[in-house]
Amino acid sequence: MSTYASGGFLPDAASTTILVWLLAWGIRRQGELDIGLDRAAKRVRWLAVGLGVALASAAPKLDSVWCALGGWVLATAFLAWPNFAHHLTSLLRWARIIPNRAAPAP
Amino acid sequence: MLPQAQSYADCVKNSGNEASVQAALRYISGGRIGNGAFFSALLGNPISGIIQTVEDATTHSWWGAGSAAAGTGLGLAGGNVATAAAPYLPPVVVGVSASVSAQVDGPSGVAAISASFNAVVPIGQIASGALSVFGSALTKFGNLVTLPVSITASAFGAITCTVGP
Repeated sequence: MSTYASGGFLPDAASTTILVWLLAWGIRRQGELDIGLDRAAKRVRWLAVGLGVALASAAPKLDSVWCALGGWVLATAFLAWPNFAHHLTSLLRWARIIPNRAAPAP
Repeated sequence: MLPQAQSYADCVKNSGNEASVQAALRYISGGRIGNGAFFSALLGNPISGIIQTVEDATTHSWWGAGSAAAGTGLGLAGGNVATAAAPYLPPVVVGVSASVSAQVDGPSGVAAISASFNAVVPIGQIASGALSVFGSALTKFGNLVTLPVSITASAFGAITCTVGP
């Protein structure tokens, strides 16, 4: 039997998210992989993280496995890899769901 | 008592855990250091963590006895947030002063001795430098130790669990 006792979904998910975040941060920093996020992309990123955390937190009440895993993956992905927010924002702009960036003044 | 057969996922998870940096720290310290959510969040095996989290969700084990709150808070205090916050720390300078006084019985009567100390501590600069060093160390440690060890251990575990020891 493993000496590592399970702490339950929410504590384990939080712990793993932080671990993945720290490791991904090291890779991003070392490889200078981050794409600069504008204000809208930053909002999209934190909105996705917040939505993921809300879904994962609501999972015990809803008793939904997919809600828990979906929320956790969403929050971890957007927290650990901000470039997802850049791509999602581009997609939302292409679909005209959010306005395009204002053109710089001549 | 015969050991219970474990699933493939459990086998890989346990192999990764037993060969993680956290386990090495526990082994070296005789189990005194390396326990709890804080060390799991910093030194654990992410692949084993992912397997454990998925197992928790699929078995509807939402809450455990342990608390990750401490680990979460401490984990957030380091690394990304710390380094991100460093440039914004104000260059606060705190003046520290202390005075000491005493009465000493001497041959010519009682003499009063007093001394005062003044020091200026640039809190912002010290904190900024310390956080920057901490962030760099955490990056190097993650890239050079935690990640290679975790991936190697889990890959070895995946192969061993497939073909058997």
